[in-house]
Amino acid sequence: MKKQSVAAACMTALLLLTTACGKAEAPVLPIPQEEQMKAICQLAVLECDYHNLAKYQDGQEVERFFWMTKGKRFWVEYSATAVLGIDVNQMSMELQGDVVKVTLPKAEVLRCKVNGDSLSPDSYIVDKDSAPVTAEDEVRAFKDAQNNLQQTVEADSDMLDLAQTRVEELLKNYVSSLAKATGTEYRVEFHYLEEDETA
Amino acid sequence: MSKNLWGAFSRKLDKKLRKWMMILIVVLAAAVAVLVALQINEHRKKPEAQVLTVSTLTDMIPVSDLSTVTSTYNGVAEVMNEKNPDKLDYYVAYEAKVQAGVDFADLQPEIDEASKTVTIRVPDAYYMDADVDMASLDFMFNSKKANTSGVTERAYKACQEDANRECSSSEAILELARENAVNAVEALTRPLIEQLYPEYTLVVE
Repeated sequence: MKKQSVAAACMTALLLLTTACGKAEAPVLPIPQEEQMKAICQLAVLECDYHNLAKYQDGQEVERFFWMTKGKRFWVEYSATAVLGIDVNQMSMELQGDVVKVTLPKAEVLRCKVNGDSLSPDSYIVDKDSAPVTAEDEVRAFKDAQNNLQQTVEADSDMLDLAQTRVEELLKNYVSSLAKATGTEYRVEFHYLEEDETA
Repeated sequence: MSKNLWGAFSRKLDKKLRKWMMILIVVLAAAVAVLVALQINEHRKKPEAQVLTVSTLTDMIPVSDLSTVTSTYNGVAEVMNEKNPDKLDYYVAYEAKVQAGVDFADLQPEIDEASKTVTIRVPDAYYMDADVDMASLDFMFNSKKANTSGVTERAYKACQEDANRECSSSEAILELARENAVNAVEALTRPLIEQLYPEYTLVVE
């Protein structure tokens, strides 16, 4: 009797113990979340002032004086704002054990705009040997500058690299801070979408 | 006689008592084991309650390149004649990379426990440096005589001075540098506060 009751009690205790541990809810420690990473990417955009110079040289429109011809040559200084970053919609994250796999598109020019009020009469520098520059020339030069700005910024690989590094650094920092706060360890791996995949 | 009776009674009582005591001990042990198991589970379920302090916030914002922003400045410097400073020798166009930023060490995080609000104030940005690219120089001569072999050296110096003067006073550069710093601070702190301290509201200004 004594042995039976002891055995029964032990079994009950064991059952209760294993049940309590086995059916434990999954730990709800905060883990890296894609939604938060997208929010970080949105804030990681690099806004930069783009003080630019449009160089205008037109050899076709010439002023003729006997055998001498003069082309038009002038520079226009203007300022623009460019926003560089990644397309958040193409960013994704997958958590595989302690590896955080982040897939990112390459940084690109998200938008850019010429600041119209940055133009003043002082913005135009005309070569002394140039044919006279007319208002139409100035308007055309400004339009060209506006059209070429996107290409100019896109060609600035230094700035695009900076924008890319900024995104990566902020994401890495988020993961490491979260790991530190929760006493876990993660390894971040970045994968990049090829241009044909981002289309 | 009474001794024998007492001995028999005590043996009988002792036997019964021992049996019940044994059952009681086992049940108690089982109860303790269950409580311990529940406690362990509870502990595993919840992350350790952490207290949000100014130091926790400061740790979230490492001093890094994120505090600075590089801009491209394409400018034009005027170079006057050395002997006759009123006479313009040439204009020279240049491209410079300009750095401006905020010192993250000067951030002022504050925690208002009553309203559960975390406020991080980002200080004003300051101009750091401009680096003129020598290969980008382009000339527009006003005096052909100025186009001599030493012209680049003098032009470069003029461009560097022009870039320092123009950029250090450029509100656009400083304003954007501060805006970028505000965004970086928000990106560094908001997701962590939302996940680890959801009861707090973050304000970055």
